[in-house]
Amino acid sequence: MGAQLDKTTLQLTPGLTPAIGYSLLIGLGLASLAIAIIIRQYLVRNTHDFIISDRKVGFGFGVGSVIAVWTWAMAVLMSSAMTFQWGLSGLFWFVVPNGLAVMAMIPFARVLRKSMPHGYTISEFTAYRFNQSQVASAIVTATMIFGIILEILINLKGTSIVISSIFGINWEVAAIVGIISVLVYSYFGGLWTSVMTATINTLMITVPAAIIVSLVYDKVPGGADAVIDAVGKADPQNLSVLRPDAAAGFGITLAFGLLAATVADQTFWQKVWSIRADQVNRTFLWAGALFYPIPICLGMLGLVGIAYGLTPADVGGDIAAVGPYLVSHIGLPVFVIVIYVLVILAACYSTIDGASAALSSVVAVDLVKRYAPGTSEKTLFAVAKISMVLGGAIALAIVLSGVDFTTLVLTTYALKTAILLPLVLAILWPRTNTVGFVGGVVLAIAIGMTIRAYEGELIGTLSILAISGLTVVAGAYLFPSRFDAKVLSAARDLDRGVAEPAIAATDLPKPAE
Amino acid sequence: MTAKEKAIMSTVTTIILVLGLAATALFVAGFLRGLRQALDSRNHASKDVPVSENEHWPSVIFAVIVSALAIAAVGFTSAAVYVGPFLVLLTAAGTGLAFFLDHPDKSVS
Repeated sequence: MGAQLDKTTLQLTPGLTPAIGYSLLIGLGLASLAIAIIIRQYLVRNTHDFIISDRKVGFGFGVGSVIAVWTWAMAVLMSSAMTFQWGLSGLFWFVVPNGLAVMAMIPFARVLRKSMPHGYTISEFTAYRFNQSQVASAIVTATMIFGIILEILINLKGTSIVISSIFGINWEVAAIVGIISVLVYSYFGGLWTSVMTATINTLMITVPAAIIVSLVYDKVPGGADAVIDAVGKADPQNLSVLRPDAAAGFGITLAFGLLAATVADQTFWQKVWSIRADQVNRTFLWAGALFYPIPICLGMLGLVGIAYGLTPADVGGDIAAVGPYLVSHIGLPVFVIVIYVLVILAACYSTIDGASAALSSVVAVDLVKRYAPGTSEKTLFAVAKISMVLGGAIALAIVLSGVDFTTLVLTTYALKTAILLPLVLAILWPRTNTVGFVGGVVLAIAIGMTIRAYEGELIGTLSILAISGLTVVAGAYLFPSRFDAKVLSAARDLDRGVAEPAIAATDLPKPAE
Repeated sequence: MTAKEKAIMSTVTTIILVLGLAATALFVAGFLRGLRQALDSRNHASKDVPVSENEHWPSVIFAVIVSALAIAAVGFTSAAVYVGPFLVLLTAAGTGLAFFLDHPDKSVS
């Protein structure tokens, strides 16, 4: 280990005060709020605009917002952490399925956008697909809601810990200030706000990430050569992408989990139905492809962590903190560290506002309109907005309660993984029926999760997938039927009644081209 | 540039900074164009346009292979640690470019 760099030289940069932390948390929220207020004035008239942006989201906003929504705060942190733990194999298994999961949406998005052009949610699709089956649509709706709450609370928790560890703020206060900052601006503009602020956040994540990683390598005595030399000497396997233990340890399970995280997530389906029909396919292609460089870039921090011989104890016990630890201890100026924190905050805020927008669509379409179809447009609009606040409040309450949210993580994991193949087959295979769909999900959870508890992640995940898929196929052969996709075209847009006046585009001052 | 400044920022970082500014400029220009288009489309009804049948599989495979190679390359040459930072600038520039490749006038009436 003689080539290892001296970790005693890593010292916390002075001047990272709580005031800076609060300014970042609130400042980013206020800047987004200004955008939200403008958007609300010009682009949001009713629930339809609020939850689906009148299906007019273009290619650029589509690409930018999908990248930002998929870049969780934890993804920013975990790309460094997985590299730190498994070397390049960790980064390989973290990155490759990540972008692929976004691009894997293309065939499903193409089919549903074509056959159900006026859809809003994947639960709504399930209702039409399975003859308005309450059980089938309830399973999917519950999965979406659990998933959304989990997205919010994981991002909230991760970010509040980073903010508290760098700026010395109480993490609970950071969580409260953070969620209020996001919800205030999300409340005003709905999906349009989410899409536009997320696109800006893509810029805030990408360019600073490139500069920061390069500056970190500048700070290492000997630069990239010294880092790679030390990493190889620590363990030659660190420089290989072919470590079988990384694949078995987390890679294969993560790959399926990520696929479920897109295909079985309303955040992505909301984008499918809000992006203009002719742009949907290439939006997911570009977003997936352009997402790749973000974790590849930030993963390079993990190699620096290995080179310095850091241990989990050095970074506070959780390897997710290896990136923030290095950036704040390697001797970079305060403003560079502040920019790094903004990268994490941008990732956090865009994921939370995307999840909140998705929640508003589920509540409006799958709960209110399904169970109270006579609800007026004005009431629906109000409920859609309030649901975002409620979702954030529930996530915050879970985070602040200090309870171990392993149960929620496991429940969501079970539902999402169990629903993945039945949902895929429901979209692509007309012979999929209600018995197979519901049976597949229920049996996968009951048997598959039990297997997972005893045999571990890999065998458990493969069992869940096998049970759910085979049950759907068995159901199709036991109760033969063929679904007519024309049924899906019966889905209609919500009432376009104007809930709130908006300013016409013709009233706008002409901005400079 | 003084010797002290050189120690603070390497040539690679300087190049990344310059390219980062260029990518930011393209992104901002694209964003403003997209914003204008969104506001213009405000008074137009959506027109049903066909969903593209192209699932882009060759491009998907290409993106997966490039990302895998970008990571694997670090094991062969230390200079490859900068591939990620350079590629991520492409993400910003590519998003900006996407706004210019969009022609919403074809899908609204």
